[in-house]
This record gives sequence, C-alpha cells and structure tokens, in this order.
Amino acid sequence: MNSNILLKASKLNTRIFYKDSVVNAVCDLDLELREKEILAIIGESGCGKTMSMLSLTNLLPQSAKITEGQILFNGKDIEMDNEDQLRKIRGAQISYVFQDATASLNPLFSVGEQIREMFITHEKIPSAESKNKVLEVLESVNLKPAEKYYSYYPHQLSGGMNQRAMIAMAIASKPKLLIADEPTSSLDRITEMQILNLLRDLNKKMNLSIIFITHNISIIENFADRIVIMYAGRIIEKGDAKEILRNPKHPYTKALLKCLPKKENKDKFLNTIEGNVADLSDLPDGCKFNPRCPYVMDVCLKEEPEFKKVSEGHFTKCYLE
Amino acid sequence: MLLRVENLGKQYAISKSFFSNKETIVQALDNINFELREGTILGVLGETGSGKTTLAKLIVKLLEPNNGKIIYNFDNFPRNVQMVFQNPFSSLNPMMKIKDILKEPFLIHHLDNGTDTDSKLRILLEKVNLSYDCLKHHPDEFSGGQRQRIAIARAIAIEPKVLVCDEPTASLDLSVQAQILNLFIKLKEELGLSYIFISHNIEVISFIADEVLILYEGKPVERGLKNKVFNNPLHPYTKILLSSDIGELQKTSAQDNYSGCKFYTNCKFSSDICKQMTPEEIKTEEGHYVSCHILK
Amino acid sequence: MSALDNKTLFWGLFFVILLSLIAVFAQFISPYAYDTIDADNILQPPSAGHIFGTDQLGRDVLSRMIYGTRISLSVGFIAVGIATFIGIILGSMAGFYGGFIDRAITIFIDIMLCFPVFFLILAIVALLEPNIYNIMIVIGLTSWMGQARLIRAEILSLKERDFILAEKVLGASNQRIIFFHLLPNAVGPVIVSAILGIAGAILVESGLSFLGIGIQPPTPSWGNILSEAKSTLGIAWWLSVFPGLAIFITIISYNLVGEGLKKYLR
Repeated sequence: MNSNILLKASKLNTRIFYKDSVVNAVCDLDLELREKEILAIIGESGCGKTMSMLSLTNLLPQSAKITEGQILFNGKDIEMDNEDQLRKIRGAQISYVFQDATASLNPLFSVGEQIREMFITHEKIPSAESKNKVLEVLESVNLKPAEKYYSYYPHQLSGGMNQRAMIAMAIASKPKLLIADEPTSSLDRITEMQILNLLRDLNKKMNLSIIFITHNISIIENFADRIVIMYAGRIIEKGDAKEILRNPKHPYTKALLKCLPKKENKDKFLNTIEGNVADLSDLPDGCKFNPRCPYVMDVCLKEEPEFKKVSEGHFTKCYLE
Repeated sequence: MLLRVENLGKQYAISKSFFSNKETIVQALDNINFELREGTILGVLGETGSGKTTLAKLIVKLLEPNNGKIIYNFDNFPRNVQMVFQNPFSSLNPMMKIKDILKEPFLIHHLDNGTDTDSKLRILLEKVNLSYDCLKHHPDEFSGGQRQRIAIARAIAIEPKVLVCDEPTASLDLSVQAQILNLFIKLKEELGLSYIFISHNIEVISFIADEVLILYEGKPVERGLKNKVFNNPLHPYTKILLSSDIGELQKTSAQDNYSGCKFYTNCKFSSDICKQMTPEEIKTEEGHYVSCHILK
Repeated sequence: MSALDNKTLFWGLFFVILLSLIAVFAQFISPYAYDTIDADNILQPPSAGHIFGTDQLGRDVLSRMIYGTRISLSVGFIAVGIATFIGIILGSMAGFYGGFIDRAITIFIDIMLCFPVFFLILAIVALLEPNIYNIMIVIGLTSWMGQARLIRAEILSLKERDFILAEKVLGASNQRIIFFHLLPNAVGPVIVSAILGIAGAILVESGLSFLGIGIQPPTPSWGNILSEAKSTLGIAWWLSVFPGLAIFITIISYNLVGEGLKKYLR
C-alpha cells in the first residue's frame, strides 16, 4: 500500500461556546490519512465525528472554534485563519458530501447547471466546454444517460440519485480528498450499497482518498481500509478495518459490534450497551466510557487512558489488557 | 388470529400542476393480504415509497382504505390498537410534562382516578425501564432512546392487543436501538402483545419478526413465516435484498405508467407478461406466498 | 439565562408596567381631578403647580393624561382580547377541520381584509353611540383577521405532527386535541401578535378620539386631549406635545415587549 501521508491532524481540539458553557466537541484528535485510502469514522450521535471533519477546513459553525492543533495536508500546513488558503483548499482539494442531498442542492437549477456552475467559477473553464465536462462527471457517478440527467431538477430525482449528483459535484474539480458525512444514512439499503460501490469505484479510478463518517458500523466491512472509532469527542480505537472488526479491543467497539441485529443471530435478546450516549456537557472524570463500561476499574475513574499499541497499526485507549 | 387484512388498497390523488385541476392517482398500497396471529410479530419490510407507513396508518385508522378491508377480531377499537412512531422527537407534546403525557391515555378512556393512576404510572415506567422521577420533566430533557421508551409506555398504557410500530428504531443510535428492540421483545412476552413492526432494515426484521411481509412500490412481493422466506427467498427482489451483491437498481416512479409488476424494470428474469400483468399471489408452500410470474 | 438579559424586553416591560401602574392607581397619583375647571388658570405653561400646564378650561393636563392612560390601556387590552378570542376560534376551526369550513373562513377573512379597517370603524362608530364600550367592541371586531390567519397557519403545521397523530390513535376527541394539544403549542406567536396588537388598538382609539368620534369629553383620552390642542397649537405647545409623547412611548414599549418576547415564545 502506498504510505504517503495525505492528511495529518495532531492534537486537534475544537470547542463549542454556548452562552453559559463551553463544550469540548473534539478533544486531542490525532488522525492520519494515507493517499488513496478509505478511512471510516464511526461513532454515535454527539461523538464529535462531524465536528472533527468540519474542523479540517474550518467549516465550523459560528459558535465553534478550533482552540489547538495542527493540520498538515499534502505536506503543507493548513492555517486556520487564512481564509484565502482555506477557500482554495475547500472544494478544489478537499470536498464534502453531506447526509441530506436533496436539501444541499438548489431546487431552482437543474442538476447539470449546478455542476456546470462549479466548472465555470472554480476551474475557469469556458462555458462551451463545460457542458461536456459535466456530462463526463455525470457518467462517472453512473447517472446515465448523462444528457437526460443533466436537465433534471433535484425534485424529479430520488434521494439516491440526488446523492449521486452531490458526489458528482464534489468530485468535479478532481479533489484529493472527499469527506462524506453520513451520505447514506437516509437512503434505503439497496441504494446505500450502490452509493458505497460508487465511492469505492471512484476511489480506485480517480485515486481519491475518502473519509467516510457513519454511525453504522455494519456497512463498512468490505468498504473501508482503516477505521477510527470515536466516543465523546475522542478517538478510542483506530486501525486496520479488518483487524478491528475481527479483533476489537476497546469495550465500546466490542459492544457496538455485538449490538447489531444479524441474520445469523439466534439469541432471543441482543447485546446492549447500558445507559445513554455520552452527554458532552456532562462528562465523567477519567475514561469517558466508564459509566457504561462493564469492565470498569479504579484507574478508569481517575485518569483518561492514552493510546496503546495492540498490534501493527492498531491502537486503543483502554487500560484493559 | 387477531387481525386480518384482505385485498387492502389505498390511493392518493395528487394534483399534477399548480395551474390545472388535473389529478394523478397514485396507488400507495395495493392488494395487501395478511393475518396477524396472537403473540407474534409481523415484520413489514420495504424501502421508502413502498407504502409501509400508509399500511400503518390504515391499521390504526388514521386513514380510510379505498379497497379491501381490515377485520379486527376484537372490539373496543382505539384501545386495542396502538402505535409507536418513528421520530420520538416529534411524537411527544413538547409543552407537556411526562406525567401528563402518560396520563393522556387514561384520561381519554375515562380510566383516571387519582392515586390509582399514580401507581399505574409507576408500573408503566418500570416496564419500560425508566425511573419514577422522570415524570416531572419535559420531553426535551431526554435523549432519543428515553423518549422512545416514553412513547412506548404511552402506547401500552391502556393494555392494547396490537402495537403498530413504524420504524421505531430508525432514528436511534445503534447501541440504543438494541436496547429498544430488546424492550419490544420483553414487552411481547410480559404482556402477550402482538406487533406489526415496520422497518426498512432487513437485519432488524430478521431479528425481531416471526412472520414477514415484503413490500415493493405498494405491492406485496413475498410473505410468510420468517424462516421460510429468508432461508428460501423466491422473489427476485427478496433475493437481491438478502444478497450482498447489489446490481444497478432503478426505482420506478409514479409517472411510469404500466400495469404490470413494479419490479419489472429491475428484474433479470422479466418477460412481456411481467410488464402487462400484475402477478397474483401464489402459495408455494404452507406459510409462504410469492407474487411473481416466473414461479408459474 | 433570564428574560431580563434582553435589553429590548427589559425596557419594553419597564414602560408597560409603569403605564399599567399609572392606569390602575390613577386616582391616587393624579394631583387634581381630571374635570376640575379653574377659570383663573387657563392655558398656563408647565410650572411647579401644574407640571404639564393647563388647558383652555384651566384643567390640569397631567391629571387628564393620567386618567387618559387608564382609558387608552383598557381600550387596547379589551379590544385585543376580543380580537384574539375571535381569531383563536375561527383560526383553529379553519386549520383543524380544513375542507369546506377552512375555505369559508378563509374567504370571510379575505373579505374582512378588503375593507379599509379605519373607515369601517368610522362608519360603524358614526352609526352607534361613540362611548368607550362601543369603541372597544368595534376595534375588536375589525382586527381579528391577523390573529385568525396566524392560528390557522400554526394549527395546519402542528396537526400533521406525530404527537397529534398519537392522540388520534389513542382515541382523543377533536376538542381535546384542539384545546389541550394544538392551541398550547400555538400560543407563543399569538401572544406576540396580541401584544403588538395592543399598540395598534391604542393608536386607533387615539385616532378616533382625535377625530371627535372616539371617547367623548369630558372623559379624557390621549386622543381627545390632542384634538382639543388643535385650536391652540400656536400658543400652547404643552397641550399637544405631552399626549403625543405618551402615545409614542406606549406604542414603542408595547412593540419592544412584543419583539423581545418573540425569541422566547418560539
């Protein structure tokens, strides 16, 4: 595997400032992404997965701010205050796809026109040529025949088709990295699988690196190269996808894998994780998973664990042996 | 047998354009048959637009059917069929305290008598694993999973026989989904409830259901005992659902008017008859029904 | 986070409460009776004895304005009360039942909105006896349309929400759904619009009294004090400036409260 590092974030901290409190949405995030790699970020609601990805190009909402940390992209430092540099990176080199594609598209323009707009403004391509470019991109996301889809408006297309159109727009400028934030969560299973297949294809054909955010650990088995698991704003386990799915080390990862209903499961009850998803404004001392952890020890209540190497490329934050 | 659905159909009229009175008829649900047996869970599996929410609303009489009928094998209608909605953030009145929300069923059915109701609420909360002091709070102080427990408590308060659950775990986190699914199973055994459990998630259905009904674009595709359907899928759509190899499926839409099988455009085995005629439901073995021409 | 952090709301509430206190305790705080004629002291400019001066009949302007507060505020409150009541009934019926009832009520609202309301009021008041009760009722009967539309829109969006469907599934009656579940959730914007409506009603009353068909002298209202000031505008500025300011401050403060509450009642 190509081991060139495309993106490296170290000690990234993002806080959200409310009127009378501050919440640590992302805490000491260390992340590496290699070229042509698909990285899946997995976590439940409020675990900081979206916030950490928005932090990468400082797309944060007004109330949130990066308080610490460094991001290297393609060997260069991303300066968080340098709006000019950020604007050149966003869209052109790092682009995003969000969950609700139908809401992300402008209902007043046809799908093709919206992508063409991208070419004319970002790439400075003359408008005569741009249409052919758009058709090319539509074909690459399997919206065929492209001529037909060019003139469709978002409301004429299904959720899955709109998500394809969004992906087409995101890859139009041939970015190095695509960040997909729960792009399939509101889609049906079959459509979801198709979108995953499409992303996998693009990853191979265009050498596109992908960060795929999801709450659903069951869909990434044949999709991601590496996995990062987040809980309460922190990464608690990371490593090779197959390794983690086969040999999860953190009690949270283990429980998450076990609580999925499976066709082969013959037990009457599912395994569960007791309690509720961590509330960022009210976190315990020590390991943030300790109130829900069945193996909790004294040390877990006092001090937050550091990363520990399990095997080559597999790290976890847990005191358990 | 608690409930039987015969040839159930529902159409909606939608006006095509703002400026004309022309209406298009959309067949949201067509020719649905099934039985719900006491103490069992019927899983209804379908994608967006398969008509599964319409089916739920028909059974709890939020909608009236255009064709066919639903035969309830019990009286006292609203008390005996209750519903749990998908989104617990919108299914609880934000202005009311949990206590008042849970008292509603008793008040509506004139079963409220002070102290007695209080102890009933206590038992109700125990059943869904919530603490007694949640009563004095408002819904916005709870997480999605806790809210769904409250919604379930409200639905079982007046001891219904049938619970219709419309994607009750679709908006929850996975760890919470497992808790809620276990709760449904526990309640089924403790209270002898029967469920019509609607979901788009085949794993959830395969975990929880005893019998399944698979819908595609408002039409029944395959139904029967879970083990028979899932171990021996016969309809091409069911086969695709159960395999991990997904081809390029294209959804038909209301505008494409042809009278045949809705799965025609995506089916590898389709022939002319599939386009012209809607397949009849065929019984292939005891407890297994398929609607497909290729089985003839 | 308390509502008083909000400066708009704070100053609005401050003046609204102050004005209400003045209205309630009018007889205790006014230095003179509002109708005591003092022929020796006509058209006196503001002085220590008469802080706001005196009018053509030598009556103390401050005392008349204090009593006028009572009149103006009660007209505002009661007129808006009537309008809100009608608005809630018609609006919730239209929104909840839909179909023919909705169409009938919507058309009725549209017809009412076609009339230039102020002239409609003028015409009705000209026919009836222009006393304070008629004024309140007429203003109320001609200003409910906005409230009705607002309620209708709120109910239309609320009634498709799952918690309303859940009530229907439980077998709740329509009355129960409307009064216990729909209206409490629609009440926020209604209160805001009612408070803004009070300012409007006070303005209409002042206008009518200024034209001489509102509150009849000797009962004082800000409008008729202004009206009497017309003839002496050149020589007695205090007769028009103080009631004008009072109207201005009242309208502004009710608007401030309305705007300030918007945030909290949404």
